[in-house]
Amino acid sequence: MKVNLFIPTLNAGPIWKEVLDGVAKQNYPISRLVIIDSGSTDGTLDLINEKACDLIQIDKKDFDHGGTRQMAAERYSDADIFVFLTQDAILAKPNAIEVMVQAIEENSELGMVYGRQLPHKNAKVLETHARLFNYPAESKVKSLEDADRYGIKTISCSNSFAAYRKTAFFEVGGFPVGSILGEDVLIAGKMLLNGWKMAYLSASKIHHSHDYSATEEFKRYFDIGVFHVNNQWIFENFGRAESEGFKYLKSELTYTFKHNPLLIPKCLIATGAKLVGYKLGLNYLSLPVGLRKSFSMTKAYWSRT
Amino acid sequence: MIKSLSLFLMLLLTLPVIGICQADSLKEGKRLNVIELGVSANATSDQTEAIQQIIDKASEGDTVFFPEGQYLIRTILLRTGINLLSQGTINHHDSAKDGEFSIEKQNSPNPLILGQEVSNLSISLNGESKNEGIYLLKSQNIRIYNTELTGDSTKLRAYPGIMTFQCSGVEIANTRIHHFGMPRRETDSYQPGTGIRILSSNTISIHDSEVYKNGENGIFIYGSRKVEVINNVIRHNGMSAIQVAFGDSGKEKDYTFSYNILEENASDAIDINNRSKEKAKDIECIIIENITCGNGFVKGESTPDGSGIATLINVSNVLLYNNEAYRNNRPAIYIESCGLIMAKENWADNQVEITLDLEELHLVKNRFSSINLIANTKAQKIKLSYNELGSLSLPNGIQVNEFLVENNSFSNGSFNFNLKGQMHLSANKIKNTSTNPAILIVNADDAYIEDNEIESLHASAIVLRKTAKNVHIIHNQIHSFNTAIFDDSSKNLAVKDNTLKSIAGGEENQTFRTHFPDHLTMEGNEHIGIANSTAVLFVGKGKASVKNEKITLGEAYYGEVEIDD
Repeated sequence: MKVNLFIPTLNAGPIWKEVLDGVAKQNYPISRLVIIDSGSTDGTLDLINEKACDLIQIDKKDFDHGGTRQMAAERYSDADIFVFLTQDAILAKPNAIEVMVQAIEENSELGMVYGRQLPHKNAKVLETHARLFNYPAESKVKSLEDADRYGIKTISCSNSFAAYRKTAFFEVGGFPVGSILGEDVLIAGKMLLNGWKMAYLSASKIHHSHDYSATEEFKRYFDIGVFHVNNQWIFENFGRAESEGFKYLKSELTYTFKHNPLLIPKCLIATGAKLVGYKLGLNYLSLPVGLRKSFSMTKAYWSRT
Repeated sequence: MIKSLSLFLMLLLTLPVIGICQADSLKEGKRLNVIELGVSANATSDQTEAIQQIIDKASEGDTVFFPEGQYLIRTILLRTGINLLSQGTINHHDSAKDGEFSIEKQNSPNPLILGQEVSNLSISLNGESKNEGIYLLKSQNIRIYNTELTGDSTKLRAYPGIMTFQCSGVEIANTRIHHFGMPRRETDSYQPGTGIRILSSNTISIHDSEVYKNGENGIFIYGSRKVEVINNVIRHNGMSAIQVAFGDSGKEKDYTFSYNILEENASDAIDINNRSKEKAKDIECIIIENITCGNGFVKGESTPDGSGIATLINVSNVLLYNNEAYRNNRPAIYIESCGLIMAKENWADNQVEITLDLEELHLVKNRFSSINLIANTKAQKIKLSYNELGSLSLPNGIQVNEFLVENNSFSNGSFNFNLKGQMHLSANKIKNTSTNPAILIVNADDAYIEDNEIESLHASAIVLRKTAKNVHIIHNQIHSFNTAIFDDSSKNLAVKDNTLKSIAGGEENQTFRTHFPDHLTMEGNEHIGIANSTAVLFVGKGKASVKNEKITLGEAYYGEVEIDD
């Protein structure tokens, strides 16, 4: 199966070289490497060989998580599988993409697969926990029938590293345009509603984690609140999984206590910041327009809306 | 709330993360025990050279460790990647040069710890300094944790406990900084000596720390971007707990001041003061869940400052959410020449003050004693909704182009609308216990008073002067002493579908009275006046349209007014 790999970039920073090295080491042939750059000024484009990849350059203000990826997939659709990677995700092993292709080849019901995210080397306690909790060692195939059991977590996935079967991708209309975030969760939801399955592949690994400050957590969860308000349909179809959230908080506190008790306050504060951000995001329509952009991590979204 | 909490907890793990990646590049290395390497603890001699040699010879990732004891030094110079960890106390030796802080010379000849153009290191120590505790210059990725820095509390012009200049990525955690400078002596002046001084820096996090009893501000931030001050106790400092000042770089943006206790500081809890002559600066600032108490006093005497939640001058895009303020000297929130400000779900035992220019203010679900617009206020938009308020003070001559007062409760509502602009007062509960009208409209154009419950116990509920025009009083429940609505010939007044009930005992007991009506419209109102008294009284000549009025108790007298029914 032919694979096109898409990576959106904007000032990818020092980690970018490692990301490209990880791509270069892949043992499965990549038909096209498509870079969609939103106006990097830090030399990101200097590290890529324009002859060996397809470069799409867009204005920073036009970047849209779903829309930009969709545009790239439509422009370079000459593959059977579209793989998406983010600029700060390092492919952990040479077989990362091969594992994905193999899964899609072997199971014709799979519409999409996503990989395991390990913390970056030297990641801090909280970001390490986030990855270990959300990306366990066991692989899993999920379908609409699992919604009763896992609720919204059924369609949990990430475009930090995910692969889509082209036919399934276009059958559901590709990524939604104009969503503040969560284009991956939305397309996964549509696929499952259309009868496709999705798989979490723990053997396909990347290093990808974030040490968010409380401010960044606040802004990120503000965006998640906005996402929630604007995409009620996924909750209506996949329900909820409240107990998982409590489990996460408990697990985070336990993990933090074991590895660095001094971070317990930070852990709780980060949770407090998330909650406040999320509540405000849920009520974003009642906020003055000028403040919505201020509270958001996705500034470009508000310039468009 | 429970629903949103549940969804929030679920989303803690559901959605993908896309953001800025911050690598922690601190490497594991050797632990270098200074005693084993020739440094003398508890000696009276200067140990600077011996310690510095160890630091200079260490490799990146190593930790220079100070066992229990006291180490006397002049200044230790940090090196990239070399961590300091002390169980003992690092103090200034007598030979360290002393200095005095001045605006021209803000750093001393001998800070206790000096980092210049260093990066990727951590510091954890107890230190006593007669100058700065830690001075970081042009440095990056520095972590100060489990540290206690004690200054010289006898010094009149002290240096800060920690100072950063042109730094980025500095974290100060679980740290105590105190006694840098003499306690403030006067209510109208202060002496230098800041706990933490952040100058022209970015990406600074100060959390889980205690900053107290310093001469000036607890934390001072100047010309800096992306600063968070979270979960600290900042108390008994000689100026504000947190002050943000502005240079001309334009970089001041992205601030979070949250979950702090800000107590007994001599000035404001949080002072954000942009004295630039340019228009209000967008600073993207969130001020959340702080608790403040007793700020703005020196030895029990009031200083000119002491706002409880924040003083905001010439800034925009600020959110104040769920803060609590008690017994502070000045208003809970002071807003001067600001752009877009939102205060939501705050609680304070005193008022909000607004003055000069204002672009847009939203006050939602707060509890304040009052909202006071000061003379010279020129606001584009003010929206008050779902607040619990004592009163609303509106002096003569202010301008509010769009004034929306919706769903609030006022325990002592007595409003004087003598302003330019559009006013909409709807669905409020207004109780007036004063002898002035609950609502006096002297100057207003296109004002709506709708769906309110107004109880005015000792004065008229609504009085309209001749200079008011196009006022619409619709569907209110009014229970009033004297005259419920008194119209002094305001033009195009419309009074519709109200229930007007008199409280007996006043000199006048009308539910509605007009003098020389100027195109008055009355329709569908119910009048519950006093038995055998005139409920509806028209005085003088004029024109009015009167339809479907229901006089339940009392009588109507239209006099010489030309009635169109």
